[in-house]
Amino acid sequence: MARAAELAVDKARTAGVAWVGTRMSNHAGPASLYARKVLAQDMIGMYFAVGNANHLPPWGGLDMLLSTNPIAVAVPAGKQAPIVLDMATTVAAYGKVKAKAQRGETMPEGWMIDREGRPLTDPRARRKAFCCRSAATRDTGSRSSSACSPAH
Amino acid sequence: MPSKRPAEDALRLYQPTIGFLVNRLQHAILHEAYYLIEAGVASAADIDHAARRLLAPRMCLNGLIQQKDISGLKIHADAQRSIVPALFHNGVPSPMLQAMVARGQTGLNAGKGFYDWSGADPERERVRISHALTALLAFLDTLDSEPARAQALRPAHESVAILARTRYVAMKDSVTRDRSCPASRFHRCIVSAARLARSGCASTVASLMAEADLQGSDGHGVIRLPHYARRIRAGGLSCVPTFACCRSGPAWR
Repeated sequence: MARAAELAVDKARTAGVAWVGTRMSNHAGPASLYARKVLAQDMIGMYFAVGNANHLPPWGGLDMLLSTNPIAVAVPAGKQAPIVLDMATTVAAYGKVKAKAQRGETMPEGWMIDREGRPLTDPRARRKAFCCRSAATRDTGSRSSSACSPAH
Repeated sequence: MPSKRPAEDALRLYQPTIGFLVNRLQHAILHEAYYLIEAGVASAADIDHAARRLLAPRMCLNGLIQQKDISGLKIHADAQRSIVPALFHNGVPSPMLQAMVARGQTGLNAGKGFYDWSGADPERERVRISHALTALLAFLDTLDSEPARAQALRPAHESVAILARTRYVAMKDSVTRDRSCPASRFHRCIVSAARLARSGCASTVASLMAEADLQGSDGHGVIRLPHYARRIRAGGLSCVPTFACCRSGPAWR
């Protein structure tokens, strides 16, 4: 992914704007890491990824059709600190759920729902449950021809 | 210099002896080393290299005696029979060392001892060594820790990950303070604990992980290392990735 960010910067330098899609990648860390690599070149960096597992039902649904598909945007702001957005398209990133489970803590209501759609607060039961949607999922996967959510 | 040894480093001697334990062992080795230098068998630098790279690491892990149990006492007993008679036993302090001191060649402070220290800053040199020693002892503690022992029988890649992670947790504070080179320090920790350097891209991965932790994305940093190790073992993650550009062109095509 670091290589893709470099490539995007090179292309944008000549074309003004560039879009690079990757396939067969692995876990690459927080999305903002790569948006910030573009930011470091005084450019606007945008990063969209398809998560490796589908934990997310569509609105009103109960089938795990979508992944948490993170989004990051980094915008230079001159003399001010840059604006960096790094978010999952769920209420909480799945990594945060795992961290809660590791620490033996409970989740706030609204992070996940069980198979009947009821709020779930025990992160250890996460494998039998769904994350809650917070935003529209982008069509990142279809643009880069990578494996993506069955909804596409 | 005041002793900072913890209680568990206290040693019990069953009868009084000159030099106690550490100095007796140290002087036995040094007496032989001085003889080898004086007789023109080996240089001080080569003796130090042998001590640092060959003797000391094994001593760090299993001491002197336990190491012999592990490598086997039969071979060791045979070796003793042929080597001990040839060792230098004369009961006289090394005349070479006494003469050096008489000439004022007292080592680092004087600018010359066995090595040439001219231009060195003794205080800085000692601080550097003191810090390195603290880090080494901390690392040895992590090797002795329960998680590290529990992992000892696991496949190499997993032990690697656990060791690197344990080590990283131990040094995370100092890494966070020293923002100038967290990646290189973490990289060294992986390399030394794990020999993951063979993978070629360890440096890139290590610096990205360190960066993730430093920007506060703990869930995406070194916490993922065991998972990476599992993926490597399962063949789902290539340590020597090749990149190819499949298609490149304008947006309006």
